[in-house]
Amino acid sequence: MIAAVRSELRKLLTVRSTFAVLSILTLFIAFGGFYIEGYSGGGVLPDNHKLVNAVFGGSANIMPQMIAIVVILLMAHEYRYNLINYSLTLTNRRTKFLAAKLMVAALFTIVIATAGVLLTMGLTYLGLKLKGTYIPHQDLMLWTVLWRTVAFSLGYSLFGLALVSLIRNLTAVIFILFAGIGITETLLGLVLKSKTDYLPFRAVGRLIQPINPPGASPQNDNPFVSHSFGPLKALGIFGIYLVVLWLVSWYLFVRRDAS
Amino acid sequence: MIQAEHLSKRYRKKQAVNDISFVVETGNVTGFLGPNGAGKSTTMRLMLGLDNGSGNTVFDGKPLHEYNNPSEIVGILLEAKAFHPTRSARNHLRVLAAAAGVPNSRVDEVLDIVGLKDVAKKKPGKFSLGMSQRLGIAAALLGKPKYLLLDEPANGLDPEGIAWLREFIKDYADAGNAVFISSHLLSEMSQMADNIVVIGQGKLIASTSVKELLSADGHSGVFVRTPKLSMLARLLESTGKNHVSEANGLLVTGMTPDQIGKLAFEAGVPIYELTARTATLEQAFFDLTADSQEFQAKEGKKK
Repeated sequence: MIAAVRSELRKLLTVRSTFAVLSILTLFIAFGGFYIEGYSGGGVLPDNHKLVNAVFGGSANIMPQMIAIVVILLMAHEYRYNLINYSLTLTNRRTKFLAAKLMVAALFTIVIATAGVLLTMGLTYLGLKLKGTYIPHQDLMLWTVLWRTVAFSLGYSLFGLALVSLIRNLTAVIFILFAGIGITETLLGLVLKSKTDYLPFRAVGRLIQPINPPGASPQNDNPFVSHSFGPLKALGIFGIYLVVLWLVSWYLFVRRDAS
Repeated sequence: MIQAEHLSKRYRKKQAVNDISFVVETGNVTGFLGPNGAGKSTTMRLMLGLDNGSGNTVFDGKPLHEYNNPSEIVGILLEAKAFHPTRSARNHLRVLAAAAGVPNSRVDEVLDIVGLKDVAKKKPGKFSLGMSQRLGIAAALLGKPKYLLLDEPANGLDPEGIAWLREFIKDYADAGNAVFISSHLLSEMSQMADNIVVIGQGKLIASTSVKELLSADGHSGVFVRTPKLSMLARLLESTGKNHVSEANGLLVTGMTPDQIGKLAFEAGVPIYELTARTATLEQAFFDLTADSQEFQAKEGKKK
């Protein structure tokens, strides 16, 4: 198992696309955190949750997608370049290979999402400072911000990894994850109405809902974000979808032809 | 020894592989022949458990997945271009070495063996087909496996590369390993293979040694040129030996040139030419697969 994980890590860290996507993500975070939220002030005077909301209202919306792209490529390359034949003959269990992929994807997501959160907060603070904006005491809620952003990012990347294991086509997976699901959930919302909150991405969106000062109205009127339950329940609901999807992906992965 | 038993694979309406069984013996090179679409690649994938069909393949008595480290048992080359185009050749092999539990030092060894050490840092996306094949062979060798399964490894290799491959494969088998290799280069195959497995339209046609295959082929025999064709023919018929009429002579099977010469001399039949002929692997292949060619050009059909 250690050999399989080491191999997956090398795959991740020896392709250009990983670093290209991470560079783009860093630019997004730098622009969004330093300039939009910090230096330009975003048109709003900082409150006690300015740095937290720079993550929830900013980078946490783009980071999971970018991380998911890297994770999806990690599996999509297996099929696109026929590496899957090597991968499955170098290990004695297909499940071991898939588990290694899952572990490396999760590790990568946790590391990058954590770094992204810290970078966003740091650059926002720096932007505000350089502009000379008064910064009131900040309630950083670091653990809350970290676990929610990491969990949201993990949800995206592991959902993407399960999809690409199932569909094996990069373009199809990118479309489904970044457009197809949103469109489907919107259409289902017309039918399900109050039950819409139980759709996977509407539920998990609750995790990165911006923090509001006491007594203020919700800053985020995003229809995709559930308001009917807390983040833990939201995570549980999304987790059920994720587990079911993974069970289907795993079942078919070990039984289908390799490519 | 690799034993493939009752391998079958069906793609919707097409039976790609139909109940194929054969043995790849240790110490030998076994050639795997068949026309395009015969099911060679599918058979190899079934042997490795990559495709989901029926039948089973055991390597020294055990299926591949029962070994802790399959890379020590079998090395594969199924497609020449199976690499990420922008990951360097060395990194490509290091990725595979990590999965095989092989140290990085082995990567440089195999790059040296296949002659790619100088381009180890280059991106294989720009490699020629021959260089890609060499990289594929390097990948197959990483775990120092006992068995090599190579699908068309000579495609794209230059003459020097083909000669190198031939010698390398023969040496590899002679060292107590076994090589199972498919190729359309029949002249090369006849030089390197000890045994041959021939399939056509998914079915096993022959599994035998090259020597037996060639001696049993109708193109083998002794060509006799004589001005008294009918007399010699009657003479041979009286001894119960088979012969086929050819231009200016007869092709006799079941007799040596010495026996024919003596027989003719005693009967007073003048002989102008007496030549032992051995069928080529190409002739034997066409004879065996004449009814199994799925894709044929209109002109140049082999009858």
